[in-house]
Amino acid sequence: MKLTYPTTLVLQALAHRYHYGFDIMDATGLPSGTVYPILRRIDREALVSSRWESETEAHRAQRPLRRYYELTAAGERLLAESLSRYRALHEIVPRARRKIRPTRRPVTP
Amino acid sequence: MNRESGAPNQESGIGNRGSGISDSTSTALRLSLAFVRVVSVLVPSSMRVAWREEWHSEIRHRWHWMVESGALTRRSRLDLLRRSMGSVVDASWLRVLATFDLNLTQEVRYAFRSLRRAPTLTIVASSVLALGIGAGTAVFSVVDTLVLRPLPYSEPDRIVTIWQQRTDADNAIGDVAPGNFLDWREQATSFDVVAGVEPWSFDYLGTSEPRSLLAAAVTEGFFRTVGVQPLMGRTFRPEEHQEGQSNVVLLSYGCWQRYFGGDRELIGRSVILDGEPRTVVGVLPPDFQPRLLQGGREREVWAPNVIRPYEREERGSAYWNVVARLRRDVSVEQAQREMDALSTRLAAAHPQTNSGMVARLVSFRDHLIGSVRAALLVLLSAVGLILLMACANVANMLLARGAERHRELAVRSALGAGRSRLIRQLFVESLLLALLGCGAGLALAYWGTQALVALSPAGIPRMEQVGLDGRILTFSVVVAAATALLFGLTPATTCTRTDAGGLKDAGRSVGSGVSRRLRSVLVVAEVAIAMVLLVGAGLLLRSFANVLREDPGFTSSNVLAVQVFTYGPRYDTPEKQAVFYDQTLERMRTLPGVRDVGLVSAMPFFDANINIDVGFWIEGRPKPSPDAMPSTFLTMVTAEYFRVMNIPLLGGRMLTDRDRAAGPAVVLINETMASRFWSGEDPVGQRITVDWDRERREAEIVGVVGHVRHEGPESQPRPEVFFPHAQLPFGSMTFVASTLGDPASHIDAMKQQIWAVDPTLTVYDAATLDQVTSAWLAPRRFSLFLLGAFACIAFLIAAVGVYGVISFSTARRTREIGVRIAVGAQAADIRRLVLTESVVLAALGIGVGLAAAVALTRFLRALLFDVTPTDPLTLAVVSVLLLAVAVTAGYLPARRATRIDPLVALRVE
Repeated sequence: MKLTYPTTLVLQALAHRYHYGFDIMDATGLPSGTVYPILRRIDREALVSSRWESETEAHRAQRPLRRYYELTAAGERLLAESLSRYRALHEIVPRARRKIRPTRRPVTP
Repeated sequence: MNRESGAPNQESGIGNRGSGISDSTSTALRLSLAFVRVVSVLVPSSMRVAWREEWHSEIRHRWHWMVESGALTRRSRLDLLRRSMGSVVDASWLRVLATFDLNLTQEVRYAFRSLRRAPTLTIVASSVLALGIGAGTAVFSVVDTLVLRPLPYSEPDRIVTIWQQRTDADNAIGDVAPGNFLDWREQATSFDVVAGVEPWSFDYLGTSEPRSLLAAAVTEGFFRTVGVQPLMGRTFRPEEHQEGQSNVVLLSYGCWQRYFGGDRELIGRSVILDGEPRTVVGVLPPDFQPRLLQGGREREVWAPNVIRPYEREERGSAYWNVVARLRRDVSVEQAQREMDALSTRLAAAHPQTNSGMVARLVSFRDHLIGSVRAALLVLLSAVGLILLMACANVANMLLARGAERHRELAVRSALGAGRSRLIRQLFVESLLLALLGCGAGLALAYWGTQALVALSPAGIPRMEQVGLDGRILTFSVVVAAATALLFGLTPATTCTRTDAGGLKDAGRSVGSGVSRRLRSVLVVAEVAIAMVLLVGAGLLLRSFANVLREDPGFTSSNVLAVQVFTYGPRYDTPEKQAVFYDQTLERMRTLPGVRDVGLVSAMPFFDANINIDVGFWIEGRPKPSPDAMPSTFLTMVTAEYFRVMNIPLLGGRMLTDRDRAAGPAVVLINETMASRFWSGEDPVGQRITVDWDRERREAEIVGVVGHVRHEGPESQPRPEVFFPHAQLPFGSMTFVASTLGDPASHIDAMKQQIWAVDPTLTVYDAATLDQVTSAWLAPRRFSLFLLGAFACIAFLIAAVGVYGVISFSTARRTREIGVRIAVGAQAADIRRLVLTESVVLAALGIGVGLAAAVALTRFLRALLFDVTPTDPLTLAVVSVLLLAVAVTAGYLPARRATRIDPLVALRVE
């Protein structure tokens, strides 16, 4: 599939353990109208898997249920390939990380 | 969003549970949630709840985080709202994905096959689209650059040109006499600045051959008037318009490039012009082409004009151009009214020169493009009509094809293809067709624009800036593609409406009544549009023929002319001028291939046509008062001029060698002068006195010659009196020679003879008469060519349209015709049946087209010559032509119909 720069950014954010839609926006700086269609697309292409997190997990963290996205093996491979093309990615994500802390990885139900 | 398992199915229960957040006070949160809820209707129903839940939970979570971390600022709230807005994109994306499951390979392959199965439709439809797009874009690009784009002058709408108009004669607009310019400048109050431009030329010897640089001498404030800043350097200072301080020049961009290699160091340095050093103070920008002074040849050098004392009183010789900048609060109409009043005052003060003369304002824009504006606007309308026709025709073909495929679609539908599947199929097909057409149209637009620029007559400002216009290209492509898609999809709607019922009557009722009527209307419209364009082209063709038929009064083949001006210190007496011309003529006569050489001052069709308008009176008749003095044009010639140009002697004798300086003064007059002033009498032997160059010259008329149209083939002949050059030497003369073989090949040899006598004399102009004649016809030929091309395209499209509809409707009636043949109808009856339909459509189209043509062709009036916009012959010929096309287009299907085998036809069901 064609890997645009924003798509690569989203994959990179996922690889850096940003697993939720809004967190990915924070990490990448991309607007919601860009991030969600990308998520839909890479979901169709099986580059990520998505599921609803378990109620227990949400309950423990005292917050609403969220939809959880995770890179698949195919997604990780593709990201590794494209990272060589977009050098700047290495700089963006660590910088963005200073702004917001990634959430803990949820317990798989 | 394929994996929906595990999605919470409650609206918001889970989201709220345990969040512990009170959002009752937050407008931002509530707004965001509500917005997402509204937007969720876009999402396909199967995933709507999960989608909404995901967005709601993210929004709530973000709110939660904002409250917890104390980041509940105005900015973060706005940020949240903005993020919620993005859900529109997300939802639309999902909707699009669901509607067109993007796996289209199968559809594309099928579409290719189906287009290949109907090659005629594919080729004709895409080429019709391409013609519409290509022609439209090319012409619009030209019109936009020349007419619509702002002029490269500051506040161009305030700039006007002012001309002298003769209200007592032919209302012709012409150049301005310096005396009148000075009066206008002093007395008119409507303008900020009024500036005069005088034609000038400078001899420049810095190149391989002596060169005459076309120049303009401008009065103070000229560059302020047109609002032009030099590319480099400065314009003239007020004191530089004074005697003794005026040795400065500005160069045109072209001149600077051609003769000075674009040297930036030139500014401030001197160049030798007319043997004197002049400082170059600046270079004008490349798009500064004000088209002033005789035909708009580029003026290469601009110099300050120093007004000489005698020019103050010069009101008879008009050779200046005048531009003015309107005051901010004055309209063109107000200024015109002021100038009318001023003209009346001047006419009273100077009746001999100014009676019957008014100052006419022409906006700068009209002046620059007035001559081509009408043609371009006509073309633009033609192009619009072509695009309309192209779309109508493509729609027509697609409707017809859709009807033919009714059965196919019904079968596929019956076999289980869903409505969306069929729509998708037709969509892809139409898209492919549109792509083909648009691709070819793009190429055509590109070549068309280049061809237009290449074919256009010389001297149109900014023509070289014309390039493909992206906006109009987009517009045409969108219109054409939309047409293809819209009409390509119609069969889907009709077929899905009929469902399985469509299969039952698919053989018979191809196409609904509505689409059949729509197709007929489209064909009538096409014929009408073709009619308008053909009538327009026909009128232009007739005008062109009329112009060609106009006898210019001379023969142009195998004639060349070389124009020189002999003034300055080396030619300060008439004798010195005469010596130069005599010696040069002598040398030219000996040139191999040159049959005859003569001299004339007023060379017909040439740019610098030396017009000397003089008053005269006839001996033996009462001498008229100065303001009632008849006038004629004064020309100096040698007898060979008439032989070379093949101008006939109608009475009396020709000039001879005996008519030299010492002999009795003689003149020839032309037939216009003879009939105007001696109607019924023989002017030969009469004596006239002309008033010229502050001298009275009395002479005997010895002969009458044929008249010549001086200002192009469309101009009227003018009265003319010819003095032998030997008796009245003159400095502005043209050598005319008739040659054996191609005259162009003799131009160089002629120039060499001039330089053999005077090595530094510049040649002002040199051309064959066929070249100048062709240049005069160029604009007319250009508009004829373009409108003609469009008319041909329209004609073809209309023919294809009629053929398409008739052949389709005949195919539809196969069964009916079969029955008719079975019960005894003859071939002739069947032919008549089919042809009638075709002729009725064409007749309706012709009727509508006639009305439209009569209404529209009056806009062509400016381009017509000797033919009325409602010329009956043109209208009749075009009507018959279109009717003939309709009959031909109907004939093929008609013949096919007569060969229908009734048995086969009845089995069609």
